[in-house]
Parts: sequence; C-alpha cells; structure tokens
Amino acid sequence: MSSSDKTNIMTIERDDRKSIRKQKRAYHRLLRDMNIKCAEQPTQHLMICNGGLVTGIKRETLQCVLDPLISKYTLIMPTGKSYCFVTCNSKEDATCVYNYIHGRIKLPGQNGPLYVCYTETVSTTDNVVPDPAFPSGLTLMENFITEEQEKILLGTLDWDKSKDLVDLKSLNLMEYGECFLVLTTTLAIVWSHLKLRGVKHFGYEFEYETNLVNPDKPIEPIPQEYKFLQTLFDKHGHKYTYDQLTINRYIPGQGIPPHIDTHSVFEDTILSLSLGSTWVMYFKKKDQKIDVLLPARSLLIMTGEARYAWTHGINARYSDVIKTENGPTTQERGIRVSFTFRKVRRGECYCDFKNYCDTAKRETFIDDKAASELENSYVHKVYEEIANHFSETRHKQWPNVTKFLESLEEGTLLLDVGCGNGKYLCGDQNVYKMGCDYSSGLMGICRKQNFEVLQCNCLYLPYKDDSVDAIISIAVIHHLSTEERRLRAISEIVRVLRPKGKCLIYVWAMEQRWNSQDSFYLKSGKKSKESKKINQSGINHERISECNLTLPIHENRTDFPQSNMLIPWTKKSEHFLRYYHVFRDGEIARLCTKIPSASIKEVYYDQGNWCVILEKCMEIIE
Amino acid sequence: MKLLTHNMLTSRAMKGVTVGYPLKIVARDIRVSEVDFNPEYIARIIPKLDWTVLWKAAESIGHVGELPQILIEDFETNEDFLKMAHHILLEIEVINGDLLCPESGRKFPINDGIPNMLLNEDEV
Repeated sequence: MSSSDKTNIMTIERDDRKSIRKQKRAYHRLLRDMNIKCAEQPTQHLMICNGGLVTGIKRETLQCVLDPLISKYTLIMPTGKSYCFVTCNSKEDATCVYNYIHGRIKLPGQNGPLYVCYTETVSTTDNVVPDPAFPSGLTLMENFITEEQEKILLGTLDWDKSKDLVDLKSLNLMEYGECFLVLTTTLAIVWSHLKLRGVKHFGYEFEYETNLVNPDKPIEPIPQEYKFLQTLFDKHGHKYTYDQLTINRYIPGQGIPPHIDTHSVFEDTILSLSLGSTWVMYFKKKDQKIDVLLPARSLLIMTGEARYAWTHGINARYSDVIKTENGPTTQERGIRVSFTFRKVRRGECYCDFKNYCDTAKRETFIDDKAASELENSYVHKVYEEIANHFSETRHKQWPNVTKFLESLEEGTLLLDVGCGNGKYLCGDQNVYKMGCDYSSGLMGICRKQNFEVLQCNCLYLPYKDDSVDAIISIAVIHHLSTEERRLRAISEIVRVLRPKGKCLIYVWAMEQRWNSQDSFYLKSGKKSKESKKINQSGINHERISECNLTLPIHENRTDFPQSNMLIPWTKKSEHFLRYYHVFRDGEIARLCTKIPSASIKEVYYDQGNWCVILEKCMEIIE
Repeated sequence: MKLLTHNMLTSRAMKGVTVGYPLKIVARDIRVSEVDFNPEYIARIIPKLDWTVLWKAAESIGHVGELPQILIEDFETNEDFLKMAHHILLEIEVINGDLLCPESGRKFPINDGIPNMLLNEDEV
C-alpha cells in the first residue's frame, strides 16, 4: 500500500442514525448469506459491513487500520462479498476496534465510513476453494511475448481516432440459455455508465449488431507489423493462418458481457494475447464459474469446449480479486489491451456442442424416438405407396455410379444398399450383384427382373462382417433423420465390406449450385418457371403430431432453406411427402471420419449430390 | 435367394445373438434355372466363401449332388468342379421357405425369392 493511501484513511464524525440503518441492512444480508446472526452485545467477532473484496478494499489497507489497534486478530475476507470478518482475541479487543472504526473511518476510494457489527460467529474460511481446473480446451501460455515485443505492439496503437470506438450500449451479443439473463442485467447496471471501449478490426469487420462477419467483404488486412505473432503461433503448432484480428482496449471500470463467439462465424481455436494490465476474465457454463487471471504478455488459447460451450466475459470493475499467500485481496486495474486472433469460418459449424451452436439451432432437432416414427411414416410408408410410380421414373443410371461399377473386377461380390427398383443391379455378368431395401413393393419390382434382393433395414444389414467386395448406397442415407442413424448406416456398410473393399455413397446436397453450375434438379424446375429465391416466410410446414415435430415442406426445384425437409412427391392427383436430410458441404466426409475402419478415398459433388468413396482398412489402427 | 447370398447372411444384429451364422434353410419351393457359366468368375468367387457352410446348405435342401464336402486344391482349374459350384451357387434359388436364426430360432420368411430380414424394434 502506498503512503498516499495511508494518509487517505480519514477519521470522521459518526452519524448514528445512518449507521444504525446500515447495520440493520447488514444484519439481514448476513443472516441470508451465511446464516450468521449479528449480536447486540459485544462479542469477539466483528463484521465490517462495507469492507469486503467486492467493494474493492485491499487486505493490506484493512491491516493498516487494525494493526495499530490490536496485536492479534484474524481477518477473513470471503470472496464475492461486500463485507469481511475480524476475529479478535477477546471481547475487549473487539470493542476497541468497534469503537475506533464504526462510522468513523473512511478508506480511500470509499464513499462513506466503515460500518461494523458484532456477530455471533464468523464464516469459517475465506471461501478459498482450490483453484478449479480450467475449462476443458483452455490453455494459458504465460510470457508468450517479451516485454520488448509488448512495447512495440502497444506503440502501434493510436486510440485517439474516434471511429475506432464502439458504443457499448449498442452491443447485441448473442447469448445462450441462462446467460442471456446475466447479460441483460449486466448491461442494465454496467453499461449505463460505461461509454466507449476501444475496438479495432483487421481482416474482416465483426458486426456487433448481428454478431456476424461478412466473409465476402474483407477490410484492411492484418498489418505487417503483427505478422511476427502468426510466426509465433505457427511455431507453437497452431493450425490456422489467422485472418481476423480484433484489438480491444479496456480502461478500468470497463468489461465485456459473457459471450460465446458465434460458432458459424469463426473456426475452432481462438487466441487472445493480453497486453498492459493484468485482468481477470471469467468462464461460465451452467452453474460453473472459473476466474482466469490474464497476465500481461500471456496468450489465452480457447479450443473445443472452452471455445464452443463456455461463455467468457470480464466484469466491469476497477479492480480484480486475486489470490495471495495471505488470502484473497484486490488488485487495481490499469489499461488492458487484447489482441484476439480468429479464423473466419467458411461454411457451417459441426461442433459437438449443439446446445450452444447457431448452426445446429437453425435445424429442427429430431430425437431418436421421433426418428424411427418419422422414417416409418415419411419414408418407408411413402415408398410402399409410390413404389410403382417411383420405379417408372427411375431407369437411367447416374454416369459416375456406372463408372464405379465398371471399375469392379471380375468375381466381385457387390451389394447395393437401398437398391430401390434395382437400376444398378442389371447387366454385367462378371459381378455378383445383390440388393437390399426396406420397401417390399420395390423388392417385388426387383424380383420381376430376377435380381437377387432381400428386405432389410440399412441400420441392421443382415450380412456377415468382411463379406462383400464392394457396396454402393445411392440416395439412401439422406432418408435417415439423425446423425447417429446416418453414421450407423455408413458403419454398417463398412462393417460388411471386406478389407480393401470400396463403397460409393451418394446423398442429396443442400447446395444445389456448385462452381456456379445449377444441378439437374434445379434446371429441370426452370423449364416450367423461373427459379425462385427462397422466401423463408413463405415456406409451408407440416405438423407431425405423432413425433411432436414440425418440418418445412420443400418447394420442388428450389434451394433448400434447412437440412431437414419434407419433399413432395406427386403421383397424378395424389401427394406424398418424403423426409430428407440434405447434406451440407463437408458433412459427409466429416461423418465418415468418425468411422475408424474406413478411409476416405474421394469426395466429390455430382449434380446436387455429395458423394464419397470409402475404403475399408486392412486392420483398425488403435 | 441363391446359396451364394445365403453364404453371407447372418442374424447377428438381433439382441442376444452372438454369431447368428449360418442361418438354417427351410425350403418349401426351390427353382433351378440355367445361368451362363463363366469358369474364371466362379473361380474368383470360391475363395471368398465359407465352403463348409455352402456344402451344408446345399445338402440341407437336397441339392448337394457330387459337390465335395471339402474344397479341392485345384478348384481354379478343375472345370467339372467349377461347373458344380456354379450350379450350386447361382442356379438354385429358394423361392419360398424360411431362414432360421441358429441361436434364437427366429424365422425370416422367404416369399417369392425375397428373404424378409426386417427386425422389429424390440429385437435389436
């Protein structure tokens, strides 16, 4: 504590009426907080009602007040509280402290004098819980840069340009679940007296109104003078070349509300370099809250759970509570500057933290129970109904599937999973072709041409492990309504394949345009009418009460607004709806990488479909 | 259902079934039809099979004929043998009957040559 602080401890006249009121309030608070009663008569315990860590008071300051009064005492400062406790050796000592301090001592930075009460007991500890482990995926690297480098970085900044300041009141940070409440209250209390935080963007502008980045609208790139940081990141094995840099300047009293960086906007790993003053950042997930001290020159690395599922924020305060050998105390904040490096995502987020994911939230959630009901009513039953009409319209083989079949050598055992009317089972006497499908109607159609087929569910293929040389599954797996089921279907295919055997899988793509080419599907729609832009509000929905689901009905020959859709099938005057999960760019490959016994040989886009060729590994490498 | 297909079928997906192989065949209706013979094609398929299972399946439906119980060493070049194998693998079809799980006894009906291997939700 500085000498000026010492002289700032003032003695003033006590205002009895006011202090009784304050004591009463403290009495109720303490009873509620810790179930500790205040005492009318002197005890050896004292509570300093407005002298806690939360009020920004330092342990040392209180010690300066107490040390001259009594020789032995215990000072307990519970974290997160506005009060603290002093346990003296005797009632007499306590009375001495009470008389000296209560209503008469004003500490630096405080508006009024300290108020004191006797209490029956005290809280047993400072509530110093052992440091909770960091959230999974969070790493702090201290002294990531040198003091010299820090100086250079700070020297590049000129905060006088008013255009770099963001009005925090206009911030609309995307929040999730209960965090939203935290945010709104924080905003109401804190931002009202906070005006401007300095923010500077490079690479891409982060738009606070929407929490989005426009990846097609780059701004001034990350300056050359910061490039040495990327070199350092590379050296530490970070996989991205970061293309978005946000520099924030926080002055004491400022903070940032708890938030998760929007999943679909930025890739997984986010790096934040702290410069200047040491501040505490907190991480929150449900009822867990972890404070992380960010020393100057340290690099905070957020990946996985820490990046996707934990909110992080900084309380708007003038000081932080930090832990010392003697217990917690407060530390004043100076100016903190952070360099946050992020990689702009192109495409959707496929994280495993669906509850926190904006990509996942845009989708209708289908649980496992609903899934089989849905597939039963909107896939299996429909195919039985439309089997004949479907078969009449499905004769032409897709050229790239034919090419795959033609590449098979003589004596190959081939299985077509979801073979439909068997359009890939005909021809080629040198390959033994088998088919299977859920639809008995379509199997009947296959038998009329003497195809070798059976009826089964693709989630439970009735074939032995390692028994088939090659498998195709064309336009089948997109009828499965959860990722687990889609994964299971592909796993079943791989299970049945012999080692070194290959399979070709086609699923419908969400992207019906690729490399500026419309798919046949969109083109054939254009013959009758001009292709339409999606009008989200104009989409019809089907309520599926037995599954407790509502799904959008797709307008044929247009783009897909989301990946879980009902697609109409019209047969003369009859209308049917089939369920489809259309796959996004990268989704099929991502799914296949979850199967350890398969390696991806090729992924390609073919006329509105995502296609993958897998090879079964010789043996699973553990 | 041809016996070549049968050689790969299992009921292992069922709850409580550990191997589910081979499935027993109860054949009520068998059709024998002629299929073009290609010795190289058959010779390439044979090593991929469980020969004992094929032989027992053929025997159980009364079509084993002269087929040896143990795979002969020169099967690739022995045309008489390949013809027999060709006949058993591709020319005989179970049109109506049942496949039986060897462990649970669960019946999988074969109608019009199509085995119905669908399982109920409580069986998986």
